[in-house]
Amino acid sequence: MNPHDSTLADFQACLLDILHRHENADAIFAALAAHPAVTPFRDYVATFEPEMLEVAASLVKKWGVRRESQAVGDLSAMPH
Amino acid sequence: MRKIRAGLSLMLEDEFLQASLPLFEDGAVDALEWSFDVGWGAAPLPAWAEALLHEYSGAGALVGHGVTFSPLSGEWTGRTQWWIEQLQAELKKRRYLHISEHFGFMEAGDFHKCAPLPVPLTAQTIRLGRERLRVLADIADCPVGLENLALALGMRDVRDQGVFLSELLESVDGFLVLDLHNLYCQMMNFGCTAAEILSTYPLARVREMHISGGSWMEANSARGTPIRRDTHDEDVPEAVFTLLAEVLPQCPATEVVVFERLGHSLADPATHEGMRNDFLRMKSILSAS
Repeated sequence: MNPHDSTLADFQACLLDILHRHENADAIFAALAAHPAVTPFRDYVATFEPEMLEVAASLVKKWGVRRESQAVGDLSAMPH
Repeated sequence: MRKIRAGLSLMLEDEFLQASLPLFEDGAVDALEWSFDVGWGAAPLPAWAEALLHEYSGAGALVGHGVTFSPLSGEWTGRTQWWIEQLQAELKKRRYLHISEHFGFMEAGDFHKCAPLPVPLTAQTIRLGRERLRVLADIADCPVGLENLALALGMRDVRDQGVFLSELLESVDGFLVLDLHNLYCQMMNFGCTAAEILSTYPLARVREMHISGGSWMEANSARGTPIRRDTHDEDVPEAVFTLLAEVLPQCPATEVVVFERLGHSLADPATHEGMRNDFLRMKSILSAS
């Protein structure tokens, strides 16, 4: 049985989707506050700093690849 | 007296080969780091890259550094299982001194790739991360490790990462890849000192370090202060060289320090020379330690 945490998985999916859809920190915070998957992690989200959320949003837009996408997603070009 | 190897992260672009060839020809590169999973399912590697991997693997001087395992994703997907199977094949193909991955997650929901993001420290996430590292340790016939992450979404991530890494690595007697530019990013972005951050890190577990350059990004809103980013596309800052010299004595198990620079950032002879100078300066610091 491979390790799995559905509560964490739902939060992470929600976070990536919101960061991909929004740029501004206020919009990101509002979307997170409205999503039920965030509820178990509300205290953690409250520690996010607006400018770092915007950096994360830019990273997800640049490197994030959805499963249905045909994009190659060349991660060899991503700093790691 | 210990000898710490000066390593180079292998990039596949021709510009990287042009810039680094004199270093290889001079025998200055003691170890090669290969991010094996960026090559899985892609076009065949250039012949020169295959030759380097063969040479360093045969010499016992190849270290592996995964990018896409996503050890702290809540979900275990078909892609995760595929990654594990590819790693098993990789480890039969090449001999590695050790292998590592990145702290954090990059796969969730319908995103199967992304830049790695932090994960909150909880009893559940520690348990999940330990189980994932155990999967790696069980198939690797070499030590396994994790690299500290540059991006923190808040001070809690900065404060917790060292504890988190300790909890995970202890479970498999794993090692820490201490990326000094990632540390520098957190120092700049959160107003912390290296000592404050490193006081929480398992420095006795550092077996590998990374150094690189990065860039500044203007913040769109909020405080309006620029953000330091780990982009690997500019020269190594003086502060990171200083960190290397200061931190090495605190990490007695360090075996290799790897220099990282993206191939596409090496566009002209001046950048090639800058890259080589940075590598040689790193090597001189290791020799003096």
